[in-house]
Amino acid sequence: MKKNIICLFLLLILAGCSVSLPDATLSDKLPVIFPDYTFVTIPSNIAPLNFRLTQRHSDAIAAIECGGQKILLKEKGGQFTIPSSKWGEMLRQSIGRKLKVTVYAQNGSWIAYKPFTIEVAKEKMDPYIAYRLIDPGYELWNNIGIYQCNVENDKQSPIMENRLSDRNCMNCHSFCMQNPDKMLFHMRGKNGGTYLIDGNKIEKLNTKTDKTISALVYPSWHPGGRYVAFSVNDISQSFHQNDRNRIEVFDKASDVVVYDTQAHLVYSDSIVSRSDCFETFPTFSPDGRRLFFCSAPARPMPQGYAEEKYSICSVSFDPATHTFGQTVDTLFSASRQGRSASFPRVSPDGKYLLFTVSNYGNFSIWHKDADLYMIDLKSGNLYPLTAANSNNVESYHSWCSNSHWFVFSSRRLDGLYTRPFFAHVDDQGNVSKAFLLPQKDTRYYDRLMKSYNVPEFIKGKVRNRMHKLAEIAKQDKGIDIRSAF
Amino acid sequence: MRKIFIPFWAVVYVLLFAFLQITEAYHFFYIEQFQLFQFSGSYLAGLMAQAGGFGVLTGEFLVQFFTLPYAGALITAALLTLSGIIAQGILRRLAPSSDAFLLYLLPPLALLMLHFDVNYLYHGTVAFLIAELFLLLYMNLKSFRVRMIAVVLMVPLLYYLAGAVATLFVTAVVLYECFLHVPRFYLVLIAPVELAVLVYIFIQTGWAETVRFACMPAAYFHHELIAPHHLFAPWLALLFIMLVAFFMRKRKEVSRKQLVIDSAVQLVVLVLLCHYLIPKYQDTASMHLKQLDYYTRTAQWDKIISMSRGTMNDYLSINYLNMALANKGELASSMFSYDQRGVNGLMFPWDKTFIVSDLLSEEYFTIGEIAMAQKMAFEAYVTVPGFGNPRFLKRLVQTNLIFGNYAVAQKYIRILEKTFAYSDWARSQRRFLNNDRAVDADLLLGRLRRNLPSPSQLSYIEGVEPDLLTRTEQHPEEKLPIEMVGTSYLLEKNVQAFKQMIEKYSGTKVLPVLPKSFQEAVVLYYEKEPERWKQLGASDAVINRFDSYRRVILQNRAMLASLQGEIAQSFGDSYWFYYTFK
Repeated sequence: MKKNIICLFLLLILAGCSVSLPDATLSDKLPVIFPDYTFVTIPSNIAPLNFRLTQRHSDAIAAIECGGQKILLKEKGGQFTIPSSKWGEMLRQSIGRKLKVTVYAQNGSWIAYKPFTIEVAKEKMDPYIAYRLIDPGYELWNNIGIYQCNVENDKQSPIMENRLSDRNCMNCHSFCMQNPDKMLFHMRGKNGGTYLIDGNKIEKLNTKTDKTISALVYPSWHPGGRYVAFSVNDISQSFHQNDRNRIEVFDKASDVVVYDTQAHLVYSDSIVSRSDCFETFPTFSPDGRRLFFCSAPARPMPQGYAEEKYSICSVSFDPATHTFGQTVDTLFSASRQGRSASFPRVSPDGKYLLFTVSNYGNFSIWHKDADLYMIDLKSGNLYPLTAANSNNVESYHSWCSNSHWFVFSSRRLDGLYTRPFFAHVDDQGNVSKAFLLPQKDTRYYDRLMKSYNVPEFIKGKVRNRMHKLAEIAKQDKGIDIRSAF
Repeated sequence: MRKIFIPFWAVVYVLLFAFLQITEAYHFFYIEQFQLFQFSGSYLAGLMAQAGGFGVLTGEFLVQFFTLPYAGALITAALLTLSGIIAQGILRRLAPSSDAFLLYLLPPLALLMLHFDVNYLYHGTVAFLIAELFLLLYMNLKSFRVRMIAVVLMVPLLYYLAGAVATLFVTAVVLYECFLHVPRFYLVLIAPVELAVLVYIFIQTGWAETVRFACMPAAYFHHELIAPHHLFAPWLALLFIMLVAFFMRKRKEVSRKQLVIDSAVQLVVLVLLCHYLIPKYQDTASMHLKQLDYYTRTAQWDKIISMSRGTMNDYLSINYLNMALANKGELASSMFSYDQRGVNGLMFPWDKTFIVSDLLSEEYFTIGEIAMAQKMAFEAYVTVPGFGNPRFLKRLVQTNLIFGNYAVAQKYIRILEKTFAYSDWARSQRRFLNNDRAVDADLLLGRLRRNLPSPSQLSYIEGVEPDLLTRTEQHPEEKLPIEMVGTSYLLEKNVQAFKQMIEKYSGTKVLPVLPKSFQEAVVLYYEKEPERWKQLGASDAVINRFDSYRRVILQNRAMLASLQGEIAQSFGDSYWFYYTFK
């Protein structure tokens, strides 16, 4: 008798847990879901794409199918929460194929929305991204930190938080070839300096020299790991009286330099530090033999802010002698295009140059018209990434180590709070529709009052060195770097 | 004494409440904006995931009610009274026949001193109460073995719930066991060792900032400021009363006569302590500003104006006055009826502090400089000592609605809808979302939107005045921008600039009629060209009055300084007086 009762009890529980598809009228409309994961391309190692149906309904069911596998989900807490293990298994089995997602909604009677697909790419993504979380504000700050997120399970952990360093500012984290053990970032204000981490070694660097207009600013590692290209900038901020581009950040002067991490010397050349130009956003080619950068004619600021347009140029670089070539190539001409480029980044396989284009200026995160563009470095073909772009800001971006994914900052959700999106690049350079970094709770982004800033792919987890970094920040005087030009 | 337990505490509570309500009512309104408690699972879960999160959560929960009149005093008095009650329980465990009420009033008295400071984090008191409760619970465990097991569990639990105050608990527990001195009492040292290990792990992993914030009272003070020494006072007070109770433990019950004498002495000491400590630690300098800020939040402009008669002591107060006058449409007509002290009284220079960001956001919103109001609201939001600021989130809703940034406004509305005091207001703003027509039709939002400059420029590139003058020309029906410009010139005594302004705008749509102070400035600045006075807009009344003023000045030129008071009685409300004497 006891056994029967237990069996009946278990059956009832199972019945409660099981989901069955309802009898539904077919609709030719797609469901409106958040995040918008319709017709995106994802890697097989991404965390579950939990989503919610935004149209009015009293109940909802989702079916995710591929091949013979099926996951049925009942809406709970206003969203569809996909079990991680089932999701991971389905993705592993579906590489190179498409998942079919059908959403059923009850509003009186049941309807089945038009199914959409999610393609599972052959290529995985680097398992982590690093980013800074900041208030999308003006001058002041409170809590700032650099964080990393495991894209396979959306667990976030801190790399460094300013509560440990007297609430100073920290920014410009950068990794050498997506290596979590070789990185740098800046602290500004109290305990200011550039912190270079190489395995167990942490160096605090005082990077303002008598030959440079500022401490080192925007970084980009040489693939060999010895050099880092930086810009030096005299940056100012202003804001608009009544413009959808709320804030304006511009350089009053800027140059490009290359820092030698072994000799603690900084090199430059007139070709990347002209007095009649603003050079910024340097980045090396994957073979380390070319330096790309943005350049614009110098003009008085802030008066000329709306006329300032940056081209993308490149010059050769010899890492053995740390010298620059004397011929500058222009890959994107601001005067010809009538627009301005920022953040050039070459794919690790050397095939593509990804960058941001806006109507003017270089601090494109505040420009609603900013979009992502690509140049095929072999053919020279320039094209916008239409599928990945939106009618709002697309700005900073970073390549995955296999050159088939990139992560970028976008403000498409509400126009102010930057969120990380991913897009796939196939072998022909076609870029897919972008998808938002998934979260367990689909309302997470609604309540998050911070912006994701400078998202960077990394191949593994950055070790917890917060305490050591804080100690060094507060106690170490720092190494003074010198200019060698 | 035991029989008067409840009435005694009732009296303490009432006295505390009355004192706090009379002297600190506006302080509670002020600190209410340093929290953003939300009735949301994710918010609660986020706080509970941190060490000390329960204390923070409770503190924020309580502070949210400080928008209600009397709530701040009622709740704070209750917490302080409770602290005293628990302290009495602790004392009685050590000295059962003790009636030393002065002792168990020491912790709440020490806490009271902290509550005067806006930088003291309210959950510090909640954490202290939790520690007291844990201690009382511990002291009620009779068996030493049970106490040892309990302390091993209580230390991490208390640290999780209340944070750094676990140090106080551990110290008190060690002290208690030293008093009891049972065999192997030294085993209690496991408590500090356990705490040290916890703190070490938290610091090494970066979960705790420094030893100071991990296990000292500094954890309950604005982390960017140097914590004052009296932050230790409640902790030391608790340990002190334990020590005294230990030495009093053998004291027998005293006679009624002795009891009366003891009580009288204690009362005198208590009064003397209050007499000394309260003026020392109460922040009387900021009380006035907190009151002005409250009236600003609640748009009680007349109250601000009535508080501003007589000598003004600081620029910030003058700013509040001028903002109130501006809101009443009386800035240029009445400002010199009050004690003006230069242009910093009109628009205080931003010093990147919360107080000034708060003030400037209100001022810029008043004069319709919405981009600046938004900037200052954002700066005030991120620099708040606590964990959020609902007041400036409200302002950010408004500025984003004005600019048509509906998605951002909705984000902030969603957050405010989860709060106690702002949910109704937030819900009422939903009708503006994605609805330009509703915004345009709204008296406040629509007016401010219509007065946005177009085309847009970068704000304040060449100073405030050019931007205000541009707006004034685009929207001449709005008087505040031109009044701001004109009064700033007058306060600076910038004759040239004022004259240029008057020559350009007097008699136009921008300045069809000159306000009183402008008329007074015209007759003064154009003293040698009286034929231009009326042409530029000065009235007969002002002209005649200036004639009287001039005669008084000329007749008493040699002793003007000594006659300032007398002249003030007749002409103290005029720009001429300001120009001559300030």
